[in-house]
Amino acid sequence: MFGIGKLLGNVAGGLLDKIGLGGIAPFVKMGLNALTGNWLGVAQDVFSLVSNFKGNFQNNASQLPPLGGFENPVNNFAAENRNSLNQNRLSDLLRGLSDLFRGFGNLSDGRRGNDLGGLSRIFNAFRTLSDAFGNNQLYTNRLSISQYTNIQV
Amino acid sequence: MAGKTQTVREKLNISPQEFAEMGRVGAMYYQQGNFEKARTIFEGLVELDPESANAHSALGGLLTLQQDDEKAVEHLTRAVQLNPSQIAPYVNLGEIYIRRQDIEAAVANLKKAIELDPQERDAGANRARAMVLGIYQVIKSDENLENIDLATEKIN
Repeated sequence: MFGIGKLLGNVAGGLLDKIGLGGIAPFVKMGLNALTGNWLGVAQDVFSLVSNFKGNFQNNASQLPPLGGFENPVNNFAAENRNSLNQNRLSDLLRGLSDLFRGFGNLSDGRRGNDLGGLSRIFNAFRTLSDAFGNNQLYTNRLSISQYTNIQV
Repeated sequence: MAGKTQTVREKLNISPQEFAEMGRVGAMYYQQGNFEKARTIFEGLVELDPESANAHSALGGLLTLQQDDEKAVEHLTRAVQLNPSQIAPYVNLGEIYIRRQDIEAAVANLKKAIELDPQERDAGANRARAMVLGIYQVIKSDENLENIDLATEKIN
């Protein structure tokens, strides 16, 4: 178990501020006061979790709510298939989507994407992606998130 | 028996690799702070493939940041249904439940995120750890909850 004192020192020293959650304490306090059911069980869970922290996490905590798989390097398919997505491909997709718009009458089967609002959101996404791939620096350096972050938008 | 209805992604013959790359562009905008473009992309990806846990998780994460909590919970819950082993949706549900002052639900979700990352390597799970630490600190500082110390000594 990592020293609780040191961990708490980091909380007081701005660990929560660092990840944009400096304001949660009042919510926690109000929430704890409002607990009418299993408050002891909740506290035990919290104490048990903290007692098992190794202390390695503090410098590697996401500063924004995490997105999941799209920001995971494991999903870096571009390295395997570098030409999978480009402006030409996006132009093809936009044409294909236009065909779907025209054939909308045949698509009204209740699925989420198969309505005009859904298709409009897809169209807007393709336009945004096309703009991104129109950025020459992005087009040539799109192998990793770290490279993406160098792009000025 | 009726066949499975095609998603728009399938109709357009978009490969999993292309779909993932679209998501990565959205993640790029998100990390740059261009949340409007990121949201446009993630909303489109959810429509393209409503069965994509990654798309729901990403949109839910962005909506968590924007404190659009009702919509966020919808997408994060769907992401968990589609892929219960993803860490990010649990972290973000934990944050939302803290905002809603539902500490029991918050801790339950943060606990799942932490348990999926025992080596403390995942940045999202580490965000969950920071939140749990914040809750711990509030509990410890609350005079009315002093007796928890005694009750929890047995488990430590």
